[in-house]
Amino acid sequence: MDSIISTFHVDWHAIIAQAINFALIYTVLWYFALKPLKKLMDERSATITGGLDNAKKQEELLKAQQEEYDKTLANARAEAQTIMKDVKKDAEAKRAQLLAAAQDESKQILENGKKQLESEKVKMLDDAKKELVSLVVAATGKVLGDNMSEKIDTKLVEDSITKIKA
Amino acid sequence: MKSVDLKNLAHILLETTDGVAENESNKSLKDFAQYLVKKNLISQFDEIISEYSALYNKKHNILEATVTKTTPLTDKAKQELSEALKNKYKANEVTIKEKIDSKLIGGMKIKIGDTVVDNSLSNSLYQLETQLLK
Repeated sequence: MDSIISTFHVDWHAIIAQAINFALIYTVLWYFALKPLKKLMDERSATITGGLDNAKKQEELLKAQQEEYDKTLANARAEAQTIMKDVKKDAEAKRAQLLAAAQDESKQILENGKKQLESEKVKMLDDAKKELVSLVVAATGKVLGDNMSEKIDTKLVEDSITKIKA
Repeated sequence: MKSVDLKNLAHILLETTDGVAENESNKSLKDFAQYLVKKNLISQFDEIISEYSALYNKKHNILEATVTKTTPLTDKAKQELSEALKNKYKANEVTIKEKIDSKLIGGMKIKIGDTVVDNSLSNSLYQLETQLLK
């Protein structure tokens, strides 16, 4: 053992001094470098962990918002479809109503036209009849006037007197 | 009111002139004429005389008939008509006024008061026209 120590020139004093020196340096390093560094690292790690958690929360929140957005959008689409259906239904009803009104109006116009036509036809026939009768009476009067003789007139006067006597 | 007054005047004239002596009647006529002038009624003399005539005819049961024809009535027809009217209306006397209207074509129209007996050919034609237009 001694030979080995002698061979490798081991100086226990130097070793102890170096050990103490190492311990001192280590202590100083640990206190002034490693400890703040560890603290910094822990803080950084905590910050990163917090950031990750936050990011995860944000992601979850985003996901929830996306789901809410999708749900709202789906509801909006469904509502829009319902509204469209209602609008279409109302439009159909209105169209049917307008069509019925137009049909009624056209029917009324047609009936009025027929009535007016019939009325005009009756009036025309009536006017024609009046004109014809007037012409016949005028012609008869003319013929009677042209052919009136004293004999006929006397007979008419006698008839009048007979009527008075009766 | 005016017509009532005229009728009253005609009635007064009738009462003062009908059935009295001629000289008294003439005096009444003169007084009546002066009254009309005084009351500014002379312009209505024709209406008063018309009322007087109606009252006179009514009082004496005289029937006044207006005959419208295209030609004048013959004496025979006038006589027959007068007799017929006298018998029908129980009149003491019949006065016939004649009017000429060529529009009647033939026959005659007799007007007695408000009554009209129309036996003219124009009326027959009018009746025919009315019937044809029904």
